[in-house]
Amino acid sequence: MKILIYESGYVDLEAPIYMTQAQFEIFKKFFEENFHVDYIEKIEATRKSGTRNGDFKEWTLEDYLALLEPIDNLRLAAKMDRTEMGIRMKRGQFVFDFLAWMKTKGYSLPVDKATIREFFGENEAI
Amino acid sequence: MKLLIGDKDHFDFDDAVLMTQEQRDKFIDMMKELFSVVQLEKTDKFRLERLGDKIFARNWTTEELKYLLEIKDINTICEGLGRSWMSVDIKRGAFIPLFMVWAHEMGYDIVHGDIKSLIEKFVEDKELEKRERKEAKRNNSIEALQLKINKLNVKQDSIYRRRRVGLKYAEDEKILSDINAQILDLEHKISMGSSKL
Repeated sequence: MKILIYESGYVDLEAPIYMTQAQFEIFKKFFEENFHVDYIEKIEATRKSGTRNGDFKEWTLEDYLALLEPIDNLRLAAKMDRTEMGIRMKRGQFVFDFLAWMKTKGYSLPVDKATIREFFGENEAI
Repeated sequence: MKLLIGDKDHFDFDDAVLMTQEQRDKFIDMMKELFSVVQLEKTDKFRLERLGDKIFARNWTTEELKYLLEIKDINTICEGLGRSWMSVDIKRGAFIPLFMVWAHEMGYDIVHGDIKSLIEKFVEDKELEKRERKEAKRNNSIEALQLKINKLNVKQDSIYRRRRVGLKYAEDEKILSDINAQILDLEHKISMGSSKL
């Protein structure tokens, strides 16, 4: 994150920041000790939800195997008949966790469905 | 001062906050303790839009990308970067294939290799590519191309002037023909660039 510093003595954040409750307590304490603070609750701007056509598609073991292929998200989305955002988010959730798990197990790429099943067996959720 | 509290755990100032040097130093120290990647930027551009006004898309810095890719646990990443899990998932998902394709092409083992140094190498490579693309773009901007034409015209004129006073060299014809070809090529690039605008 960036903290913006102005020559005039002003300080700002580059953009709103996400904080856990514990972080916010420390943040709040700092400002209460140094400034007079008013709190304003706001509704955050959000993207409009996309229009979903068709049913929710379950992620199969083959799908997870495909996520590990060195193929870009767009091509993989076309190949799997899913949205690019769906691929992107699933890869974001799955790939690094899986690679780290493989390392602990001493496995190497490429893997097969049994390895994916073993991973989810140990992690208890697909 | 007013502190804006979002309904999805984002926080913001209502406006830039005037701080004394001491307060500013304390604030920066606190932020560095709370978050893993904090960068300071001196600026004179004030931010008008605040939490709730729009969806903010914060650019990812190289340091943030390294942190994003080398840390496994999503809660740790969100906490360390001050970003929501969705922002982290989306960015990781966009980066993973690039990283995988790069590692595959370079022949690196992303499972058993030293992932931290691989990520650093990857980010450096991408930064270099970005700089090269920027440089190429700068060199091919219409203004840059026009400047090149102007320089070639000056060179061409000086040869013609020299020849008018009787100083002719054997290689002149070849040089003039090369200059003409280069000017034509640059003019063609400019016309292609203009038609895209």
